[in-house]
Amino acid sequence: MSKQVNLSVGIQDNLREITVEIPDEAPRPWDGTDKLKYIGGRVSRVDGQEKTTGRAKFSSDIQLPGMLYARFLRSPQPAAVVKSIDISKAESAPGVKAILLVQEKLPMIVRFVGQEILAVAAETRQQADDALKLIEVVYRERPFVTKTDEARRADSPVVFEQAVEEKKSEGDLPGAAATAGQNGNVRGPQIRPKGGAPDKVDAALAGSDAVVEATYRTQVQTHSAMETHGVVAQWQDLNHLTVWASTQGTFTVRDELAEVFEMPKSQIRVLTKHMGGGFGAKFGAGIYGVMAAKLARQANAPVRLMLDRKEEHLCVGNRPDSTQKLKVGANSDGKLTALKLLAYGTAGVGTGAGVSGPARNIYEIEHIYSEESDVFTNAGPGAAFRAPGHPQGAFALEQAIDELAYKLKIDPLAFRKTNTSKNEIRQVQYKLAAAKANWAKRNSRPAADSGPIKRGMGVANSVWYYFYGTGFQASIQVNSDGSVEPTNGVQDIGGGITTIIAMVVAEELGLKPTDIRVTIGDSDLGFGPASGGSQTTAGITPAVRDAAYRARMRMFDIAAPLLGVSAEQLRADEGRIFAKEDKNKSLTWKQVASKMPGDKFTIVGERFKDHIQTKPRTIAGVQVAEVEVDTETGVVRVERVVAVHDCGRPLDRLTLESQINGGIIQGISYALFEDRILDRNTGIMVNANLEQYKIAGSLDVPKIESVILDVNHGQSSTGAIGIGEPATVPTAAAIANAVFHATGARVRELPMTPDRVLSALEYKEGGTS
Amino acid sequence: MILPSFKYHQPTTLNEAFAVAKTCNGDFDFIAGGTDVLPNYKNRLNNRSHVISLSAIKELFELGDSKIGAMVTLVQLEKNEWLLQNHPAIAQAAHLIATPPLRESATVGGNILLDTRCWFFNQSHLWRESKGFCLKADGNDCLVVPQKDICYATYSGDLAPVFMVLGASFHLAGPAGRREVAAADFFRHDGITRYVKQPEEILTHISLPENAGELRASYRKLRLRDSMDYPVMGAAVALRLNGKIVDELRIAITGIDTTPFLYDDITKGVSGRELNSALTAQIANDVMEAVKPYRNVHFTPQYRKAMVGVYLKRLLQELSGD
Ligand SMILES: Cc1cc2nc3c(=O)[nH]c(=O)nc-3n(C[C@H](O)[C@H](O)[C@H](O)COP(=O)(O)OP(=O)(O)OC[C@H]3O[C@@H](n4cnc5c(N)ncnc54)[C@H](O)[C@@H]3O)c2cc1C
Repeated sequence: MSKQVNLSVGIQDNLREITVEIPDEAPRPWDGTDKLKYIGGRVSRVDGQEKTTGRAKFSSDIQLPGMLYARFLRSPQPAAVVKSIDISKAESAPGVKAILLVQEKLPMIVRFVGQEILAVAAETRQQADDALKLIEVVYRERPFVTKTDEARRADSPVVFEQAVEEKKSEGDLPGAAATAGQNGNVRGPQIRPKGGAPDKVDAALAGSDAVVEATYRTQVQTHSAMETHGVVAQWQDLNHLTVWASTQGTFTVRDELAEVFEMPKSQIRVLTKHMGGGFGAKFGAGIYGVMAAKLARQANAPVRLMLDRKEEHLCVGNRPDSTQKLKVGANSDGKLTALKLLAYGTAGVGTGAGVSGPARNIYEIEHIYSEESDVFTNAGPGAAFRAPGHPQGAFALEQAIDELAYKLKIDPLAFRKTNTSKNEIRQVQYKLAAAKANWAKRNSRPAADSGPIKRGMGVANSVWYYFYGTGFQASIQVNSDGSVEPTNGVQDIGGGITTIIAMVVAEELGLKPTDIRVTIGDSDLGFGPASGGSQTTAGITPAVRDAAYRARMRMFDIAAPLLGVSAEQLRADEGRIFAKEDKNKSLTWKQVASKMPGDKFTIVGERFKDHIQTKPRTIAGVQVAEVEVDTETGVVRVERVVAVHDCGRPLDRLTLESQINGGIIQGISYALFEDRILDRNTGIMVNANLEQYKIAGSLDVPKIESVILDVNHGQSSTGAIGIGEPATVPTAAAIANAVFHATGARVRELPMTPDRVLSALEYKEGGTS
Repeated sequence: MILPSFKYHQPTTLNEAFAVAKTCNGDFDFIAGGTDVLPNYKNRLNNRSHVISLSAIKELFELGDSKIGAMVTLVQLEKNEWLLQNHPAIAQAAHLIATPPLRESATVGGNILLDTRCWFFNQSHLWRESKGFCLKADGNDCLVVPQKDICYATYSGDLAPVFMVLGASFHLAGPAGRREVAAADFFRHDGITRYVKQPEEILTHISLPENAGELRASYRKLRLRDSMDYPVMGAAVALRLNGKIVDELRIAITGIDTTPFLYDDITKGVSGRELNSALTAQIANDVMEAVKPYRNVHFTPQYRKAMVGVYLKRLLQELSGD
């Protein structure tokens, strides 16, 4: 049974009417004309106080009686065969309760420094560390390779003898796993032509009025979330396992454990009450989760296994590096003609170094050809990382687009406008960004400032995609004391979904967000999304609203006879339920609740497919960076970033801005500082800490001004779309374009460290650019 | 990372401290703010069985009258009226050290006596084990300059060069009595022995010469991030001009070599000359040519060397009011 509703959709106030069909018992989707109380406003995090006062319990805070501490023995060798392991001394060391090999049968092949060999559980962390020192491992060393370019050569040591199967997580893009061939260390290429065969692209490039061609390089970046990976595992009995995990997917951790231990999913419970960030690297149980559970079973005691910072850098994920040879053509009318991208990168012993997303999905280009491969090296595996492949891809693409604009003597922003003409959202975004950044005042000539300190302004586009899952189930329990308790298994990885759920429920029920007691982060609760692909809010909020709407209907049914009106005439606001026509006919929410039959009622809302498909399906964004470059020292200082992003209908502007700020800060850090450095002679990461692995700190953060677009698609009952990833995509590119505008020099390699900037300036002085 | 276990002592007088130290058979460290000692201990870098805190010895906390007690914190330095009036370069350098919370516990004494740093040394035990231990901790060979005689870890304190150009003296007290050593003579060209202070000696205070106030001094620090980073090069300059003529000029560089270094041999010769752009360029260039950075931090030696020239040119321009 369904009903038809009319919705006002569109960008900001530019609305048009559409009709959509929705299920009978579903709420009318919020649209551009709804005047809402909390949704779209700025609501502080409901768990903010708990976090700032240190009361919030993260997985790394869990302490259980009799809990043991586990630590890994990790390979100091980048490539070796483990021939023997002697644990006899460690077994009798003080406090040691269990020792388990990761691979029970030897020989075992080791492919990177830090690879897990075995794990020890002891009464204290110190005892576990001490026991590790007593273990004797005999390695037969093998040749290894750490540099991507060297690994591609025919004479390079081979990382894997056999074909490698791609391991996927919830954070990866669909399609990224398409099967590819493998030759030596090179897996691929994955070829994606659009608008004809490669020779068509070459011909179109040859026939273009202007062509730019260059090679861009980006570095390996580690996720470096505040909270490290890890779990506390406890067996209730032989058939029931509880795991506190620092994860982006309570259900994905549960599913992996169920598979490994061959247990029914319902006998495993994964809890994530608070979580200190993941950025894409925390989906499955991980080898640490599996080993913790095994040790706990073996030792018959709860086991805590949290990684330290060094392990975090070495073993549990990173953003692959990239080398991108990019050629783009355009005609003098300012229209792009063709694009050719040849790219490769290393995800260490992992896969997923593709970068072509931006090149294929931002601009209106008739002929596109992309060829990408993964290169295996003896280094820790890559993992999905906030918009996988996209900051890399945008760094190259957006600099090439910029260069082409200068070459054609067209304003870089105008050039982008022309080549995204069909994207209504982008067109609005350019206008807003230009106004906010004062683009019109920008000197069109690069390197216009005199003196050693030069200022510049650059722009870059972002792209991401609208993802959401279905089948999520949010429950709402209304108690006879009037309290309201929404629950779902989803985890709050810091994005603020707890607050958003409270807001959606409060809005629907006419209560305040602080009245709502949200319980999430528990796989025993209703099925919820993994936080990957920027889909948490878009995924779960429609189910929450659905449940809240039907809870309100139930409350109206209870109130109607008490007030002597029909349920259709009732409204809920400010903690009261009242007749629309006669506000004197009114009861408080609590009074109505006290009249419910029984003690409580529970309603389950579900996430179905969207009512309609959004257009376009990509998520647009644009950022303008302003920098100051010291041309004598090469130091780049980002002064200001203006960001305009689409995220559908904004729910909480405050948490949304935090996501944008975070994305930009991480983007600045990627642009200027972060770099995983491997020692070529030993395969060891030189800077596996947070002192020498440089992350932007508060004084490196510029003024960030974000403009949040209200875009009503009417696709779901809340209209939300993701923002976590898109905000970090264009930052490094915008900074690079600003550096060019300031100095006239292109820095085509990340991070843009002072010495690199100086080299780029020298190169430019040399007149070869 | 967790701390190793050690015995903690908190003497209330210098003599008591010397007595405790004597019972430790050399297996001890003094600790002030602990912001250098404790991170190194966590990495199991030369940790000792006894840690003797200086936090209860009152005489180490004095500040004023050209005298800075060793236990004065960096925050106190940054905010002290007398220093801001008379020696702003000290406050300025203190402000650039570490981060605000660290500066609350970090002391002047600890900063001067900061252990040398190197990316083959400031690493976890596992890291150093995998790579091979270095001369400075647990090993026999220097991994920066392959040999066994001296350690090339870098001195990275920010205050020492400022004290050097101001002509400050460091005051030491030990079981054998007290002595005063000029800042310029305090450091030793070896990342392990580091300075002339004996292990059992305590730095009590720093004194500034009476005429130090007549010098105009400034400090600039090269680092990757504004938020927090040790200097990969730091330059301090003190200058007294008579009109345009140089009366006295002193330059010290930190963060490059195993010690902070005073370039008197270069600057002595310029007294009596007019400080014009040619002389500025020449001085900057001479010092730049004299420094010898090693490949043991984030930035390349070539870049750090080049920056000595840029920084000195800017400092000299700033101080001569150009
Ligand atoms: C993240 C981080 C960033 C940092 N950044 C910087 C920076 O940018 N610049 C910089 O210069 N430093 C930096 N430091 C190092 C350190 O914080 C400072 O140098 C600080 O001033 C050291 O003082 P402390 O009192 O904490 O020293 P402690 O750690 O207590 O002592 C340091 C050394 O001095 C000895 N010592 C201390 N006082 C005495 C005394 N009175 N007599 C005899 N021996 C003594 C100790 O035995 C020890 O060997 C940083 C440290 C950290 C952790």
